[in-house]
Amino acid sequence: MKFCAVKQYFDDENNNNITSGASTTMIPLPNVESHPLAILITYCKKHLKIKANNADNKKETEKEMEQYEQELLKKVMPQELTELILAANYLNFKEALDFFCRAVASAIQNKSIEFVRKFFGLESDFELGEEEKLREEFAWSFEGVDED
Amino acid sequence: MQETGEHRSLPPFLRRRNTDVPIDIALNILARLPVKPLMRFRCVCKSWDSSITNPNFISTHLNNNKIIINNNNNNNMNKDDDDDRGYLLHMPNVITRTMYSSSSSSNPVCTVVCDRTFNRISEHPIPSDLLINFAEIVGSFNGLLCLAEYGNGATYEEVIYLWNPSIRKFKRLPRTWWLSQYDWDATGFAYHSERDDYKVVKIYSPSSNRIKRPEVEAEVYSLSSDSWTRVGISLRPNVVVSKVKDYSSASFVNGALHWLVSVSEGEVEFQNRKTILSFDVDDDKFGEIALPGGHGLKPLHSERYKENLAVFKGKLAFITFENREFVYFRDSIGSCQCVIWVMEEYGVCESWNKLFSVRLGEVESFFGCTRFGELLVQKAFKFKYGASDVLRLNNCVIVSLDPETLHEKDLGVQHLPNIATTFEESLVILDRADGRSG
Repeated sequence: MKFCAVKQYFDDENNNNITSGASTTMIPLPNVESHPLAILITYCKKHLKIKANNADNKKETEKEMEQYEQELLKKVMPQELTELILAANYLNFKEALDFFCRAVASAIQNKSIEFVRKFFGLESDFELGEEEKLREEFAWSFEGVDED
Repeated sequence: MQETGEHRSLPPFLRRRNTDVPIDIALNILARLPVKPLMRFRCVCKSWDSSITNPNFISTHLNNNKIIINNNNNNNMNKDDDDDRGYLLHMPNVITRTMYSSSSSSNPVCTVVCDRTFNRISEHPIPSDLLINFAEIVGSFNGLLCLAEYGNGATYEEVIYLWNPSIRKFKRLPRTWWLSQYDWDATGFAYHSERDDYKVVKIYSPSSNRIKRPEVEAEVYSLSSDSWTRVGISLRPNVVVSKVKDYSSASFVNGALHWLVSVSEGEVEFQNRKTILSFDVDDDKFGEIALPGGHGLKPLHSERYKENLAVFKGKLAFITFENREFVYFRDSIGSCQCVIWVMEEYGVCESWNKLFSVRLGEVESFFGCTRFGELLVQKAFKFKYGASDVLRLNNCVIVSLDPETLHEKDLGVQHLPNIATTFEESLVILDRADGRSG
């Protein structure tokens, strides 16, 4: 099971000897919104499907997954990526977490500091003049940055 | 964070409060970034600055890069693919800086050219306070270059730098004085992966010519301790290393550095022969590996006969070039007999295998082998001036030559390279550099 957090829940249930005759179980996921969860479920199903289709051919699996991931990224807004990452992290879904982290890295690599602060919800906590000093020392790393 | 429409209709206590990305996930993302944005993002906030300059992060980032490169390499065993890690590096010296000026800027740059596709060139500005006149690039590991200035005893001082061009930071190695009666002849640069440590080995020979039986000395630097240690060279009894090839940089393979040296053997009367001196970076011990049969007895230097150590497809190799001339009607045509010996089983002298013996066009210098076992050489173009052969000035035709097919590929390189090696971007020594960026 890819959603390790959910698996944990099932394992815990079995340990507590709660027999569940019902075919559906409700698992509370307070930290995951429905929208990112839907995307993660689709991602997971697709991944398993591609893996099954390509059986032993790891290279084919990777290639198809890459194509699917490219398509998926076109439909996802950059701001949604953080939600997806947090959801994947909470669910302990490693493949999706790695994928979305890669996607965010790609999205921010040419961006300015201001953009990145806004994206991650961070603020500058440098002392007066510290930031200027760093900026001056690494002025070369500020060349060619995308406009905000 | 942005609030979506549905949130606004919810009572405040049901709206998601904490959408901050936890630091470990932020680091997961940062570790996938190239070096340039990482340096910039140090300015985002204090915790990002200290995270990026943390040695653990530097290692993680390096390993991420390696995984990406290895994945690409494993999938592409096709020689014509763009992806690879072999490069030719050129450091301008104080003469070339005045002779050729770089087209892009007047500041000296270190040029890195891919050994496969000659349109992949990157230039790295050399920091203004990295004072070097005739730099030898001793080696490169994980994006860190070791530069050696052997000095000329008068105006140019001896110095060694560890330089990471991608972060534009360098570290000047401390000097030692216990070998001031000796001449510094050769160097080696190695990476000890188990301890994540970088080592530099210096080999010296006695300055005085009057010593009957000269013996070389060595010292080793470790980056993690930032200090030098004297290391004795003790091979078999009555065998001392008498000479090492001047300005030679060692070949690193099987966790050890290797140089071609002369040894003198015997108790009262000495016999000179050549062999391979090895230095194991794990236990800091020197050893000896015999050359393939018969080669031990030839002289160390010769105009027409060049010997080199190299790494051929991951194994220690001994490669010789013998330039010959033969007369064809009234022209004299230069050619070169190249023999490649490979040590199939490291350390086992019986496993020396003569892999190739091929005739090439005349070779001026040899830089090393590519990952696929091609030779990187500078071809010689001589012309007759009166009765002598003159090497054409500014001769710089560097080719990659396949010893199996004899197919040659001109790499279109503009400057004579200092070294053929691997090179990648990394943050290595960001936490240790003392030089200002250039």
